[in-house]
Amino acid sequence: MKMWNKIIKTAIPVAASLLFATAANAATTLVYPALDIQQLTGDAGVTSTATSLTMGGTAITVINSGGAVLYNFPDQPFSLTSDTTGSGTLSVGNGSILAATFSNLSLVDLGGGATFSADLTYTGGSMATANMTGGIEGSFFNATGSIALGNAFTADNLIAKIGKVQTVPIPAAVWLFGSGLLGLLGIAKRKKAA
Amino acid sequence: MTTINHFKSILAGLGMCLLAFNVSAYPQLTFDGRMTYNLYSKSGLLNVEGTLTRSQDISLAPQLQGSIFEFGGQLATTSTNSGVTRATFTGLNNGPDLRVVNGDSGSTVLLEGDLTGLLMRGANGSNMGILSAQFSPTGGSLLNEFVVGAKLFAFQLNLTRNFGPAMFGQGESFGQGEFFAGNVDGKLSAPASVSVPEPGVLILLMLGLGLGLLVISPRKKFGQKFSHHVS
Repeated sequence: MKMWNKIIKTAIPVAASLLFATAANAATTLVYPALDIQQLTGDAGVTSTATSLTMGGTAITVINSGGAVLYNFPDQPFSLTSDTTGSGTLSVGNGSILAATFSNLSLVDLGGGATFSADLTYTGGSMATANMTGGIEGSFFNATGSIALGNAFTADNLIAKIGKVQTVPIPAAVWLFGSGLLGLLGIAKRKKAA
Repeated sequence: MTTINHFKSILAGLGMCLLAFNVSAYPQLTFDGRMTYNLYSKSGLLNVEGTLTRSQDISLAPQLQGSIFEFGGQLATTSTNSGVTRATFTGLNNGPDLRVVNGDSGSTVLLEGDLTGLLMRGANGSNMGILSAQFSPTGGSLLNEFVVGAKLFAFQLNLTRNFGPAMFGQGESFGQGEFFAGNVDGKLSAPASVSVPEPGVLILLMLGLGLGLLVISPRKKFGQKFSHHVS
């Protein structure tokens, strides 16, 4: 009896930590087809100040995951404005294709370049009729300073994708482990009752 | 007074011609596609293959539709520092590191050359990263448009293996074959200004100057005569 109690007491924290770790490592993937954003000549690129961050580029195509162009529309302006907490607004085609808000823009300084991502809540535009949420993931290069929200820097070669975002499903092993644990609990309960 | 005005016009025209002669272009090819990283006998091979999605300031623009863009490299070193994993790649042993081939015929090489300093990096635990390299063209019909300071920049997303010390499997006894894959979105650009050739501009300038002087001379004489008559 004592042994079963020990097993259960050990197993529960292990299971809890495993579930927590799995949730923490659950990566997101951008689902194609996606909007392709590029910085062309004349586009603003990335500018960050002590109070805001702005990005300017051009939406050029809708593509699939293999790189095939699904829809080649006339160039549309892309702009993103964020405050230093990572909250802001985004538009494609001045809002006619997409208008969205976000509250979790994150920048990762990789030295000589950076990646960024944010979860979007669509508020208008033709993309908003099919989905109300999505994400933006991208990168930029040649930053002139330390890359972080609230730091002053500029960067160019902005590249980004906008589309639906999916969380990578938790592996089946975790659920199998959980059901095994429930079994142990059941056995312990039956033993206790006996 | 009239002569001075003519000279002013000629000087302005000369200035405009000189400005036109220095028009700059920034050639750029953008691509989208898939990347794979394969292990062969404990060494790694990066391969990216995609299609051209856009071109800018390219003389052969109409012919680029559907062209294939591919590049690769052999894993050289990996390191992890301050939560960022980096991998450097050297050139491929056989053939050019980067090729752009016409999509219609599949045989016309639009651009080919070698990559130096090919570097892939990303934050540990993330499935996003970036690639960058310098590009030295060696052939293809677009060769001249990427001669000066061409660079490759790419964004990697949806990688099937997160960045981390074991990401590239270097020296480990993993089996041969695909180790991870993902999507790539990037561009090849020549950031340095490339002068757009204006072959006839100097000839036209000289012709314009000659004609201008021919017109000015009689008018100048006429103006002098007329002023004499007035006085």
